[in-house]
Amino acid sequence: MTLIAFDTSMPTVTAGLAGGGSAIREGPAQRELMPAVNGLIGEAGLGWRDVKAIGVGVGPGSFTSLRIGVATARGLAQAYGAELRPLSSLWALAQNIDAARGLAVIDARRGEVFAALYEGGEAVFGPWVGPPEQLPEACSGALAAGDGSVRFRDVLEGAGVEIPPDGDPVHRIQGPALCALAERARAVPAEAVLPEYLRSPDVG
Amino acid sequence: MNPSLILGIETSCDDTCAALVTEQGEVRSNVVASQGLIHEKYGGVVPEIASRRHLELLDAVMADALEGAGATLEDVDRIAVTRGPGLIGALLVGVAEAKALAAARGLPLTPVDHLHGHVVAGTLGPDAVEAPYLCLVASGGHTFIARVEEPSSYTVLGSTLDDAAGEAFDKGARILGLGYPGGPAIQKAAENGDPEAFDFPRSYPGELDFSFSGLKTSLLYKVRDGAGPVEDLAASYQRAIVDALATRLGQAARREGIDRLAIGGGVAANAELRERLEGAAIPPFELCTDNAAMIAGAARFLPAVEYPGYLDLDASARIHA
Repeated sequence: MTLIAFDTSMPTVTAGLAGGGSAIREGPAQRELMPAVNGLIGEAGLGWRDVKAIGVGVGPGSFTSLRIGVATARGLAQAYGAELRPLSSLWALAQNIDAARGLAVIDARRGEVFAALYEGGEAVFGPWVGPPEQLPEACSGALAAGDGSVRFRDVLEGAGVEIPPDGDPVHRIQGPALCALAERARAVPAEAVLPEYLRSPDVG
Repeated sequence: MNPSLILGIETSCDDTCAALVTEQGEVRSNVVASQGLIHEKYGGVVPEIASRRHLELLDAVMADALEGAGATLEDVDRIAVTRGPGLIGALLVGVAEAKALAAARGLPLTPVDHLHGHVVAGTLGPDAVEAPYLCLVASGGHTFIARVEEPSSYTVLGSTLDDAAGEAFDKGARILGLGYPGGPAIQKAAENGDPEAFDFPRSYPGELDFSFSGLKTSLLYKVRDGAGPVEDLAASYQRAIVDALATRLGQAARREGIDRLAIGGGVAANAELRERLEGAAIPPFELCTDNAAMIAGAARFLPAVEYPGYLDLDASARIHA
């Protein structure tokens, strides 16, 4: 079954075609996402009519960027009735971590992070949003990934978290891992595919 | 053979809209999911809430528009989407979905200036206004007079230097404790008031520009000084806004030598303004407020970007044309 998956939770766009290519592009989702996914379909000699399932990262992450991801997924799915499979962006990031305990950390701006701690394939803490200083002690000794762990390296390392070097690919969601998650994920009705914001709208 | 159908999508502010319009300008469906009540308690549109609601509503609104037109995606020949101006996060929901749907189906896409949509809304339907004409667009975010030589573009002759007319209604209603949105609230209170009870200032800056901020301040002072009743204040305040709009449009018509007039934007729903501009082409209410039929309607006069030329199309909070 032809499946594509993409994620826009961080300032990079990740896209992958199951059993095919993958792409990571720098830049805003509104400019990079459609060229990326359309390119993958084209390079594989496929058309959108062939795509039967679409996996989409629903965050947490940048609100606007997540909405672009979800709206794009819905538009693509509507075209020929492909099914939609929402994916946790933190769990997708955690796929990169080769350790017993993995801490996925996405920069949430305003001095905060979106984070989740995974152990044996399950979230034992989070998804959560808050200042990195307030991550629980249980994160000590975990191996971290994500742009949030890079930005708050000092705070997290001070709390006993291990963080790969800044440029390490572990900090970005990878296309093949995203596709693997999507292949195992459940399809849900389009209206139920919504970003996981974790924060209330700012009404000030 | 069926006429070509354009699917219009509009998410620039707080209304989630989709519509189907033929290339000949027949409105087959025009669906608007208003978020007004959600924003009412905040006294104005909250951008993040509006963006979230657009995403929740857009699929259903598009499905309703197709169903209302008795059409399926198979019948759609082109997609038109509001590119701006507006709330950037809100615009991006519509632009992202429009691009994805158009690309997957290999359809051409026309990005549309929201204001162009208002300017040419009067060209839709059986009583279509014919160019050349002048159009007053007055809404919560914009107030300007445009000259339309050909419906593919427009020239702004004058615009507000501060608040938009709809904003003046909203702010006035808030000062008077009448709720949101302000236009209908003030109009209702004004029904039982004397429009000449208070002499509010009319401001005529430049040649054909508008200014409403002094008006709002004047109302604030009167309320602070205990003036009333609220019905008289509302009626006089509304009269001042309508006066400014109608006077400017009249001046523009004389200066330009064009007597065909049209109005658009949410304030065009105001009964007193409609009465004052008798003879102008006033589109039905649902084509005046934000809607997607006017976006698809404007697209009729604009070039379409063929697939895949629009894949990296971005929204713009402040575009013009």
